[in-house]
Amino acid sequence: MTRLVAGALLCLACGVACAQPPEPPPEAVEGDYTLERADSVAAGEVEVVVGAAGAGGARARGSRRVSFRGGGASGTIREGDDALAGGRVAAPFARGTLIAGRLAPRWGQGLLLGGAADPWARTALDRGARARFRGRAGEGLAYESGAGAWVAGRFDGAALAAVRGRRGPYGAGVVVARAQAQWTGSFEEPATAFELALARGGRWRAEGAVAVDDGPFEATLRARAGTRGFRPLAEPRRAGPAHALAFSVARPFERVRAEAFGAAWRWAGGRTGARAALEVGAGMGQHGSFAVGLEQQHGARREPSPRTRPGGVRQGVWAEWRGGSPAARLSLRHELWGARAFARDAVRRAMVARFEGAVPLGGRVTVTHAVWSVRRGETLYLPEPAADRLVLRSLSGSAARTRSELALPFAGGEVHLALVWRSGGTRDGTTPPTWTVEWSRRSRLAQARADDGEGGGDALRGADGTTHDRGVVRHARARQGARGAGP
Amino acid sequence: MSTGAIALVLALVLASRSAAQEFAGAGPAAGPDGAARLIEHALPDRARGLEGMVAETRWWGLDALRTRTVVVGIGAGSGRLALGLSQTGDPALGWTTLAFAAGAASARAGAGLRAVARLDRDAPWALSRAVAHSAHEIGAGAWLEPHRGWHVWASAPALARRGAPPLDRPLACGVRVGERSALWFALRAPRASDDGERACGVVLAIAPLQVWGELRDAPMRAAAGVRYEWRSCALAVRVDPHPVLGQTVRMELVGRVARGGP
Repeated sequence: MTRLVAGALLCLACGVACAQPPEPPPEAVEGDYTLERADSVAAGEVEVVVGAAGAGGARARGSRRVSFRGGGASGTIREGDDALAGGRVAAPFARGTLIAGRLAPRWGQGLLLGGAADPWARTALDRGARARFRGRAGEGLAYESGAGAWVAGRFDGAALAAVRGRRGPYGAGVVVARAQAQWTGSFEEPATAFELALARGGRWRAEGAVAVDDGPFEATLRARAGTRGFRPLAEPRRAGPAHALAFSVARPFERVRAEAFGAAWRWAGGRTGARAALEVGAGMGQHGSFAVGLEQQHGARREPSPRTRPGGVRQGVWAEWRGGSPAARLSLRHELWGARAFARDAVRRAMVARFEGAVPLGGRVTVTHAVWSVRRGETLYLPEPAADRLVLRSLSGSAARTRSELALPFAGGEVHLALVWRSGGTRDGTTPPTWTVEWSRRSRLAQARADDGEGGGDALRGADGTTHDRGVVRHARARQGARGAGP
Repeated sequence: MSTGAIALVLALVLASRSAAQEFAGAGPAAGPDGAARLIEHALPDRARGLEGMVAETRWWGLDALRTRTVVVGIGAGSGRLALGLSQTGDPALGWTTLAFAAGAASARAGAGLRAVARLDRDAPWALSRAVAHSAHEIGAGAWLEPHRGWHVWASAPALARRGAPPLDRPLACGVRVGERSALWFALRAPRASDDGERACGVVLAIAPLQVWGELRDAPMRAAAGVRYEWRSCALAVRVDPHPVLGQTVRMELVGRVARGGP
């Protein structure tokens, strides 16, 4: 009964929600951003990928990747890949897991380690062992077990050490870096979670979340409070707002599923921000779906600098359809954002079509064509899914982008060719095309063990991927600090 | 018609919001138009057979700006091929267009590619000049029938190009509900000079006639047309009034042999 009342209160208080699309985190520099997918290799498998890429007449760059999983160990090593250089290896050790390389731990609600990138998000997409994407918070050595965890490495350019103990739902830990210490205490259960973090000078931050799962009805509520000067030592740019309130609700109605979310936050400088959205989606046959969404954004989405102009109201509407069969599949999306009510006075508009079809010799061809028009000071992100990553393309101006891909079985593996060209958006109207050639092969090392199956459920190549990854323009925002961004 | 007036019209053409070009038939914008639709939008028809089409377009009421078009298409199995030739305008400012399109279609889906080459008519034709000075355009399109009577399409007629085409034609997509009588809605992506275009229309089949009307925005305008079908031939007329540019009239004559579903 308590859950029902909580859910009803959430509905009354908020009214609207929606899926949370990926967006570059606050530490990302302006431009494209690459998210690395969690390992997709199955237990007892090793995947080898050799590739080359180039643009126009420039010299080609080679790259190599090896991913493996077996005997409880897993890892990915990359070379020659600018966006995702480095690697990560995890192995069982002393009833836990020892991890070396790139680290992206998450403790509790993420107030000290593993904070969410967006003020409206409850959990980070790229932090924690079960995250959809492998993050790049730091590098070093970490150990995780049911009883506790420790981390030693370099985070945000400084040496850092952290240790945490757990007993049942309770946890407590300390993070030490730059001759400072920060303390955390947390409580975690499936339906409720709470974390309190303390720093020197009496600075503190607390966050609690409640989830209601009452049959088809799902709702979450998250609240955060604290002092303005609090910043986690490990990831100061993911400090997020000092005060925030967010909710989400979802409920299916026959074949239609409605989701809504809302969030409001206040940054340290007193600037505020808010976001609310409603998304309604329906399945259409075995492979088809249709979804439509409405959203309103207001204020600063990232921690604003003192020179940042206050962001104006943006209202957006989008619709997406996908249909067909594995032999021929078509996806269409239209997105419109305006500075006035009902998305009038358009500031961002995008249209994307994607066709995927089977070709002879067991291959597949995919053509994705995106056309956009973005007013000065605004940015639009176009997700570009690949086998091992999701690239968020930063779009501006008025231009079009076409990506043609061909995948064919070759030499016991698969060869993947991609050609991308863009027209418009530059002074002379064109940019040199870029190309990628990649050969990948998966081999079985040994018989899979049942206890190796951590992950592996998110098959990448040849699958649909998640809705967010396959979507077209997945997120739009006003560029922070851009002149003329406000109304 | 003076040269200056033609230049003005061409400038308006560049800025106009028409989505069609040399090989657009006189049928409704949502098709199907057979080989002409394959050439113009890279959308192959699901029907097979041999088809020939001749058409003439009189742009904005200007006698000096006419387009004469011939298209031949063939469909066998799931393959579709089409070849088109057109000539637009007076020799001083006009151009000749050669187009080729290929695609594959089944009863539920289709995809195609188109390639277009244009050469100005202001100098005598020569192969070397055609190679060096012609403008090129490559496009692609695809359609699906997710449910019977629902037809969804996406067409990007100019995915890549060299030289300036008479019209900038970005991605367009739409949905048609119905078979011979149908409702449709279409969206065209924005260009650097505009905010995109939205269009809707209705097609009514009253044998042996088929009549249609459509509305487009920015600026708001309407178009209408009628097609008369007799055995394997069809004659169609389409009128597109524009509040600024004037009235465009298209006529087409289509002959088909041994057409049928795949």
